[in-house]
Amino acid sequence: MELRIDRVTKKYDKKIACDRISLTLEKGVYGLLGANGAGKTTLMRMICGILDPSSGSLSCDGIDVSQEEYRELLGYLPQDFGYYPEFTAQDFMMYIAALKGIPKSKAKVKTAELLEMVSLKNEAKKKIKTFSGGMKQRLGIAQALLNDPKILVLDEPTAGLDPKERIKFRNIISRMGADRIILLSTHIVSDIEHIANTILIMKDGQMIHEGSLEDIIAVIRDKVWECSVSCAEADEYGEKYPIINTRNEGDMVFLRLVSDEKPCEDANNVEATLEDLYLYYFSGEET
Amino acid sequence: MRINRLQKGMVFDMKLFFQLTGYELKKILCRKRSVITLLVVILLGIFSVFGTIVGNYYYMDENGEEIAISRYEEAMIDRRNGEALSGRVVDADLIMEAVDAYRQVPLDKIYYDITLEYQSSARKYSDICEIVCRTMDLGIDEFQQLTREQAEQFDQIRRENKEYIIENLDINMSENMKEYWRECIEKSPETLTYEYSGGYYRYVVIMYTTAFLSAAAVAIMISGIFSEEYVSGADNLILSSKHGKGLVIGAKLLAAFGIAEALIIFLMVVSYIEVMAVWGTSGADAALTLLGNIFEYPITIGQSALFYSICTLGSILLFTALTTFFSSAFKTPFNTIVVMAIILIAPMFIVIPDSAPLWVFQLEQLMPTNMMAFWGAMSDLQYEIFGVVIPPYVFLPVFAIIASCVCVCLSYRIFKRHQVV
Repeated sequence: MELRIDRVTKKYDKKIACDRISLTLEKGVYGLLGANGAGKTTLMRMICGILDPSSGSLSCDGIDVSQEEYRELLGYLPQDFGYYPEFTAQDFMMYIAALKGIPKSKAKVKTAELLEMVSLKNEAKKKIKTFSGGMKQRLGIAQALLNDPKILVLDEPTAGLDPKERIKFRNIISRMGADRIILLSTHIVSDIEHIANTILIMKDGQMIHEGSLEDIIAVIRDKVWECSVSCAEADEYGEKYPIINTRNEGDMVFLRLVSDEKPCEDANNVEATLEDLYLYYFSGEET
Repeated sequence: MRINRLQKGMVFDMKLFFQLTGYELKKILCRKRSVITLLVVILLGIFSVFGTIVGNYYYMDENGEEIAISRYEEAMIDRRNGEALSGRVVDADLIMEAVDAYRQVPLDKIYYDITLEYQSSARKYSDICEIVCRTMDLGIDEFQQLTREQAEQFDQIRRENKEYIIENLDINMSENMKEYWRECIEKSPETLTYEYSGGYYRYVVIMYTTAFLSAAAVAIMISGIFSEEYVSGADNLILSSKHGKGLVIGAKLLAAFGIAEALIIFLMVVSYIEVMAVWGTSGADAALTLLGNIFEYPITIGQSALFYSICTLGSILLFTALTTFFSSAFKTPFNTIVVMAIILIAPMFIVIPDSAPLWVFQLEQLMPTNMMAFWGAMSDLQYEIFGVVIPPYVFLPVFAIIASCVCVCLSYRIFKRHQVV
């Protein structure tokens, strides 16, 4: 299975949300990183066939994303999805199952299974309007998995989940990635670091990096430094270098920053992480 | 084998379609505003029929004392009086009987109808008086002075009136339309036979209010059928699902039309049963002119009530179709409600000058609000297509179906192509 994105562009009046993006996704977990407004959600919507590109094409094994045949393979968790407050979790799942063309008897079994998986089994008969944000998010994850999708698109799936649920969900995604295409976007860099086989980084509508964690981090390898400096120096460094972390330590300020050369005598070169890279690219932008 | 598989698939899809329709109905009926609207309209629809028989009616006895009878009793008196005269030809004998009865009524009183003389003798001829006065263009005092010679001219005046109107109508009828009317006049009987038709009269009056209320309810309940999905963000899930750009749109439309038509049919049946129970079922075979129509379409009162009911169903169909169209086109249900309220109310305030061309009047009549009125369905405005003249009670429902199909196709297309941004 191959999801091919070929020179896809999406323009809104004067703004280009996605700029000539070309990708080929095969089985595995793809983590999409980018600041707000980078074009992640736009790209995901185009992949799900709910937003037409201004130019370019998207297809899976030759099936265009606008086809019903393609949507049959798809599971999608939008960033903000609409739920029906008066529906129970069970009703909602059964409705989505009907939308996905799953026969009623099979849908019942699958619903029970998925609600248990996302720890909503006891809430199955409760109205969604009584749910917390995290519960709604878990319900959203469950609905995306109803049709056992071959292509799973998850826009901020771990938003609102507590750490325990997040890790549980991460493990589920990891397992599922073995035999399907999973594309997820999140601001929680550690989630991507743990489960994504391939990391995609978007900035200003363009795909600026694509590769494994190792490949991606190579960009800032040997460029991450930690040092302790005075307050005045800290301000000066803040203007000069992308600061990844800052912490007060008595009279001194601990800094973790990215620099091509050693910023000061006491600075120690440390191993780069994905978070370093993310902050390196997106420091100063709204995230 | 192939056919079997195909048939199995179709059966499955139909099951799924109705399952989805069920969910769409649930979505509509789960909304608080829908429940409240539905309850209010059903209660108003059921009880509005009784509005005219609640309370008392007063008249004076010979000593000037007030006598009260209930409105219901009054309606029963009229029904008995009307039924007693049913089957009689409106000829000079009957007219003079009515004139004699009315001569006993003192017209110097401000309200002659509360006098004992009117109640005891003239009231039973009130329908005859109304028909004669309308036809011969008389006031009540002139009716009292009517002579037998004048009464004998009743049928001739009726015929002359119709012919005069055809030639001198404000609207510019085509020759084909005029010919159609002449044929209708030829087909209509020379004499007019009176039949009490209080039940049918009440039915056509009450149905306008009921249909108007139903249309308002449709606008409130159906306005969110598509746009609510845009507002809530459920469009993301729907449009990315297998049936989100096909079956579910059909299910939404079926739910919308189903709920709208079920509401109007329910209220129609309830109103019919109620009015017929109170005012009686007689008059179905009587001439349409007895309901006040100058033009005599070649149908009976019963047939006209049936055609009118079909026009009402058509008007609600069209109104629902327009609501679904605007719901798919607008981003919020509120916008749809505002536009539909304008479509519903505006025709009542539009005054078209007499000098306007015929098509302007015809177009106005096609508005759902005018379509749901008996005077609209039975009006003197016909439609001519390729030289064939079609009466409004036939044209209006056909137009409603065609226009609704267009709206449905547009709604389908708009939602299917909706872009989630």
